[in-house]
Amino acid sequence: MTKQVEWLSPERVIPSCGVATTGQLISLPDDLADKFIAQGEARLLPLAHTATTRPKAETKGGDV
Amino acid sequence: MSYGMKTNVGISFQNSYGTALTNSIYWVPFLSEGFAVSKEPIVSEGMTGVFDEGATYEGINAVEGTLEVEAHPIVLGAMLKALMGSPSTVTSGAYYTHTFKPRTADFDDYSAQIPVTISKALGDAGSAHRFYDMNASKMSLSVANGELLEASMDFMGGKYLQIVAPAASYPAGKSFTWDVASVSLAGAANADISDFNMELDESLENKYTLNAAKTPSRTKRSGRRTLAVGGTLIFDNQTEYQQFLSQSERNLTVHMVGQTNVQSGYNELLTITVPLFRYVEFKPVAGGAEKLEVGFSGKGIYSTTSATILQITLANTQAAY
Repeated sequence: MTKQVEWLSPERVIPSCGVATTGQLISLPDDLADKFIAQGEARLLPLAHTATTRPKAETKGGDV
Repeated sequence: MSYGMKTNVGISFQNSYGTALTNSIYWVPFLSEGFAVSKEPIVSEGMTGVFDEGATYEGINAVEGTLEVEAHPIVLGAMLKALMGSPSTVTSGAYYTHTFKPRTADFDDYSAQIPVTISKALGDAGSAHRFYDMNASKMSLSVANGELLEASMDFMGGKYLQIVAPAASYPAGKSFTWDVASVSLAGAANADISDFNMELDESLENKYTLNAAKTPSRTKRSGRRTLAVGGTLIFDNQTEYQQFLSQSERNLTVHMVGQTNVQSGYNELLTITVPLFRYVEFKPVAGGAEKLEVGFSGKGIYSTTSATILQITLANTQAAY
């Protein structure tokens, strides 16, 4: 399984995974992602389907 | 089975002596490492009516090791900080120029240098090893024609933990090669030097006290700092030999330009400046039929004008160390 994380550190080469630049979203194996998150070098992104969204407020149409 | 090539070694700088640091690790692409715990046995001398040696007890514990690397522009800065303390940094856009000079005061009462934590994960061989309260005691830099700039650093200290292996990530970029190096003596370029090496020795030793522990209670100085400089010179003329005979003290500068263009017109740079360099040995002899070359040795002398024995300037993309 993999996790998608945001890379927080400066540009780094992650062995067997590639290059990560600051702010880049990368997929890492679960255990590796957990370690980088614990080390403060990456952060977990919330999954899109679990994100809470507020309904748009209704707007009244006006004369053009 | 695990392999040496799957091993990761990282350095992190502690905030205080006695507490290991588990993040902000500079992972080092290394050639070899020798970090290991040693436990000196104490053998009882008491005679008990037998021919056999007496009971054995655990004596002092220590960790010493040498880390050999191909000097990477980002990692070299971390190694220099371990030996010389935090640099002064000048910023120009994304281009950072770090100037390192040897320490003028110890880190604290327990540690001569910034205490560092060294993390070593031995590939697939289970737990990683963490050595902390380590001091960088000696560093050598060398470059020869046809090779990469290499650095070697001795660490000493003595506390040890087994930990879950941390995740490693390495800085991007390329090492310094010999063809980007130039040497100048007394401000004039010298194209006759075929290899160069220097070694800064801080003369540290572990101190043990009666503090209910087998590990060192501090790592402090046992002697004066020395800077040894050596190399090989193609002997085309007597110019440098005259400098040996007169025992002159001159500025020695080694300048290296990295391969990575940080921003327009600015590459990574490494400049080693010995304000006062003096030959100690210079023997032009014909040892065989081949072209004459002289292996020389010398030393850096503390300059009261520059207030240092050595200055190393490193310019790269690392914002701070």
